[in-house]
Amino acid sequence: MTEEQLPHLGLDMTRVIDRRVYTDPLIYKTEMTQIFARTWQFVAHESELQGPGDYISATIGEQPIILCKNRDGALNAFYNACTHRGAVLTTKRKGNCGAAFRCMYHGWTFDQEGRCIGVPYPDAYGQGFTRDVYDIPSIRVETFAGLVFVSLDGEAAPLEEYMGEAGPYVREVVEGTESLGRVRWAYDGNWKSWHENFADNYHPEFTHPVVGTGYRGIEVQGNNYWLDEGHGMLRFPPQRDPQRIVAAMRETSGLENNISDNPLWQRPPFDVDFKQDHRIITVFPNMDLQFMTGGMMNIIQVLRPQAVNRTVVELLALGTKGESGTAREWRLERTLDSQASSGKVSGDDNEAVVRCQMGFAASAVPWSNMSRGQGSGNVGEKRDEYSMRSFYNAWRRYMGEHAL
Amino acid sequence: MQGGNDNCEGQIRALMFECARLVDHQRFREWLDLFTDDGSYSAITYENNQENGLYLFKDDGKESLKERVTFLMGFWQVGRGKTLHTLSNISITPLQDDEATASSYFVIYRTGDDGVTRFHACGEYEDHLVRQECRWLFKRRKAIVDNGVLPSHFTDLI
Repeated sequence: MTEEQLPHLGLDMTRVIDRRVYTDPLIYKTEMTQIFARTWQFVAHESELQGPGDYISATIGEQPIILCKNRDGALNAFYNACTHRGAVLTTKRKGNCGAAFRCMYHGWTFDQEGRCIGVPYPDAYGQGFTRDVYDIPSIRVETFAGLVFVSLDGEAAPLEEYMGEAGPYVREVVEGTESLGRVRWAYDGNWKSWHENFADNYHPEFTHPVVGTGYRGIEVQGNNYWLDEGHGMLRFPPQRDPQRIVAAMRETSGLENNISDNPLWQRPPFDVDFKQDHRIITVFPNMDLQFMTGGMMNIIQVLRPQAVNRTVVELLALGTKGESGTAREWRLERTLDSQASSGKVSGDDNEAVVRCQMGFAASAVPWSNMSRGQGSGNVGEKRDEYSMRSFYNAWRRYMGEHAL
Repeated sequence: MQGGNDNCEGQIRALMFECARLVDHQRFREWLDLFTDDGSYSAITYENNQENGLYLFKDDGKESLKERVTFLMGFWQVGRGKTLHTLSNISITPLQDDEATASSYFVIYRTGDDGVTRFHACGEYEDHLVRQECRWLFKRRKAIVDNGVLPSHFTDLI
């Protein structure tokens, strides 16, 4: 389809999306090479790798990698594949390799940087055999405010530059945090749908009754930002009006609610600046951060595509370094209450993206509209879609001739 | 235990089966009544239960439980799937006359709006039970979910 076929929509291709980007296996395969292999990909918070030999494995695009801390404290990344016959060196998502990874197939060993340090019975390979030829290719690693990224493409811009306008906003909310743990869930939908949902503040009052009925009649101000390099951001003031939400809950269930006896509505046992904005940042192409009111709930989500219509979301919950035991306990018990596929908010987001994937099969309805916010500039009101268009602007650039 | 261990264990088993039945038939208000006023209901993945204690959710007290029921009754738009809980390996440990702990395995199947029934989740319940006015209730129910990758529809009661 071309731009000439669009006049009936009254929009150009920067404001509508051809839905084949969510359904075409060839486009998906191309995304893996043109985008996932060429961008910076979040793998871990550095607090998740404490000592020598600690590692986290991940799949970047479709390629298995290992991020490992060596005895000098440096982080190294290399492919999770034995150079002998190809078996992955670990199937675990994290662990400690000790001094080396030992392949379970023929016993070849690789140190914490992926160098081949052991080959059983090497004499049979002849005199020309050298082990270093079998070092596992290394992968670029850089850290930003404690967040560890890798890039399979040696040509990617430095991470600081790549973060672009999103960098200062990310740094402000991430610095001083550490990992609380992870959860994962899978949904039947394209990876971009979840990322778009994060950049979308048009949906909450309709998708989430807790927002729609809880804030009925109240217009919460907010902004939607196009940040350069494909990133985006939403900011809005704290939305915390328990009495209205409780009234809406009573309307729904008929149950009397007494929030003074409900710990979910009590102030947390740490200082919260209730004047700080709620911030959602989307980092191109597959990373989303959400920092709620004064750091009450801090999460990072990264999308791991499994197929064109199947995605795993990995959620990393964050706490504040050095916080008290009671503060940490509060975060461990409350952070995910609204999040993940069991969450009081995200549960409905999962439903939305799954329904979208089902609807994408209707070939007579080939376009998605992302044109909200017609003003010039890079910032619109909260229901505008500047951040989505920033994403697709970068998506087209990375996809090049493969873009629709 | 007053009334004899066998009798009490039978009543506790009956409570656990009743809980599964009420959940599967989406009788959420009656499910509420299976908890003490200070009752706690929580879920956590096996991995996080072993490592860091990061809960999926933790509802402490009747008011928190009522909030969950409200979400189940329409504050979520997610369709309520028909679930089927099966319980096994029930082990009950009496503590005092009116108090016991229990563990059990659960396997949950879920039938979606598409009519397809799929394996949903499995794991283990850790329960703390008390008897109040001749009736056994959950003082604490913790569902430890084996799934390392959760399903996308995971708002039904576990």
